[in-house]
Amino acid sequence: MSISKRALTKTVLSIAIASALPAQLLAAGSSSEEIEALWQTVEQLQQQVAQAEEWKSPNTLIHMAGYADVNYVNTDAGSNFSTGTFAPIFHYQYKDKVMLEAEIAFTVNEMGETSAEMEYFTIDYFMTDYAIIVMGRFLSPLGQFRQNIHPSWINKLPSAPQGFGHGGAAPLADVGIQVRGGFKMGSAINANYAVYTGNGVAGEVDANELEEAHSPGFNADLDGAKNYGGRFGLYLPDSKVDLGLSWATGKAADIEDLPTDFTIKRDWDFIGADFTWHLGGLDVRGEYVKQSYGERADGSSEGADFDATYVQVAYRFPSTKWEAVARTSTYNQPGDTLDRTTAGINYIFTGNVIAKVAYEANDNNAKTAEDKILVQMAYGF
Amino acid sequence: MKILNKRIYALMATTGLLLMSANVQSGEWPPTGDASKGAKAWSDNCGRCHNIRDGKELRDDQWIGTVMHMRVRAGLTGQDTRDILSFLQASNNTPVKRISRTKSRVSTEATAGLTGKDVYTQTCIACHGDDGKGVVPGAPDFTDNQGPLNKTDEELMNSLINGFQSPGSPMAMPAKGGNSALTIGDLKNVLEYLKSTF
Repeated sequence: MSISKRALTKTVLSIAIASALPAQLLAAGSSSEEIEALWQTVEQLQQQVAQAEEWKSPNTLIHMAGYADVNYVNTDAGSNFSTGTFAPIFHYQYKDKVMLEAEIAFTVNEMGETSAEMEYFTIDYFMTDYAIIVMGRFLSPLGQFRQNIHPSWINKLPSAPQGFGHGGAAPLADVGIQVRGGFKMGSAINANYAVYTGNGVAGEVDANELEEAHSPGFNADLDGAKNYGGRFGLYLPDSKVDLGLSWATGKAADIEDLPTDFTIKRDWDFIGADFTWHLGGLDVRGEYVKQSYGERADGSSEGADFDATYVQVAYRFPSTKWEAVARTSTYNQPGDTLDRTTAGINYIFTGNVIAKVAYEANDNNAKTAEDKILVQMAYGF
Repeated sequence: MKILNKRIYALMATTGLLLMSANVQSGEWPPTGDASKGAKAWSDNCGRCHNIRDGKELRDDQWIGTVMHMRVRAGLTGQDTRDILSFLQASNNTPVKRISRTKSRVSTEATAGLTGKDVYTQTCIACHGDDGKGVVPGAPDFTDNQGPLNKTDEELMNSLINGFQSPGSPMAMPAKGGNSALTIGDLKNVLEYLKSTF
């Protein structure tokens, strides 16, 4: 009589397991098949536990998030494929006390040259459940689009609203310190806030006329006076409504052809308001921002306002991955008004991977703005 | 103007100190919260700016970094952050095929004092809404005559135990709705509640 190796192994295992198992289990009439199944389960569990141990949270966590997009643009002048932004965000975190956050945006220009820009770089101290101290170079806490909506996997259209991109009315970034967080106001309202002080902004001047607002996050206080301000927001979970008000004040430096005389400065003020409303698959949001630059103290250059508005409506079709989006925006700057109306269709592969196709109608005073067909694939990670 | 500036700085400093002294954090590491409260906080907050992300997209440790980043961005409280983290970490568990010796060993007892309505209110309502019509993208309409409640009890219990993703939905319902403390008896009770209410 020959006994197979497997049968022999089963017999030995059964005896070994039986000797180790409680008598009650055996008394209940466990068969050798059940014991083998139990043994397999134990082995699976041992393997899973060994793997899980590896990922238990150490005191310092290293984490990467970010976003990226690739694009196709068609205008009357021609069409181009292009890579958009690849923006990894590095997180180094000590327990739930301190987090280093750094986002670097890599872009490639028309000539194929790569550039890297530090979008933000902060060290955050989680002081209490309601307050976080954020110090370094941060996305401007004024308004909503720049600090929360601009990443391509969040922005529902392939382009930004007029006035909310580089050189627009919405401040991009600042270098300084802020305290931000949230707290409950009863059971029906969540409040959030950010107050900051930083190096501030500058106005681009040509022939003593203000042309553009600049807020890239200057790494020095060009005008010698800190700006300060913040945003206060209320979120009503039951009605899915977000409301925010922003305000800031301080000084702005003048930037002209180099060498620049940074001793020239102006008063600077900012106001903004934003809202969001969700109802099922409907998502409506809008924002108004305004930067006011005062005149030079010696009267050699007048002040100017830069303001921008957008309203966006998006609708996710029920039980599908399709979404329709429309947005209109206007940017008023000295000597010109820029209008942009964009409508598009998105296919949402999953929450963080989105394909977008949109038609963008642009207009300005000189009628030089081009309409565009935009295609974008965006990935948040 | 300088006096005004000083007053504003003093106001900011006072506000900051008040907020800083208002509460100390849990001190627990890794942080843990209430998954059932987290389901509501997740449903309330995460769709404010971006599409809802499926809990299965990231591992438990990756969700820690992500929700801490989102706490800064979205102005969440520390408690909401911990609750959302617990919910997401519960949501990404892969259902394990359990081998049981006999059916009689599976606990069917409901948690004492916990009715089907209680389970629905604490765990399900964040996504399915108090009217059962669904409040997040992809959540089905329980009041629809052709909706999911037409399935057999066996199919529905399987979905409740192991989780389920509706066709076209951006994310799956996690096993036990993300509340791993629920027993089979609790799930049977909530199923009875669903069928009798919607």
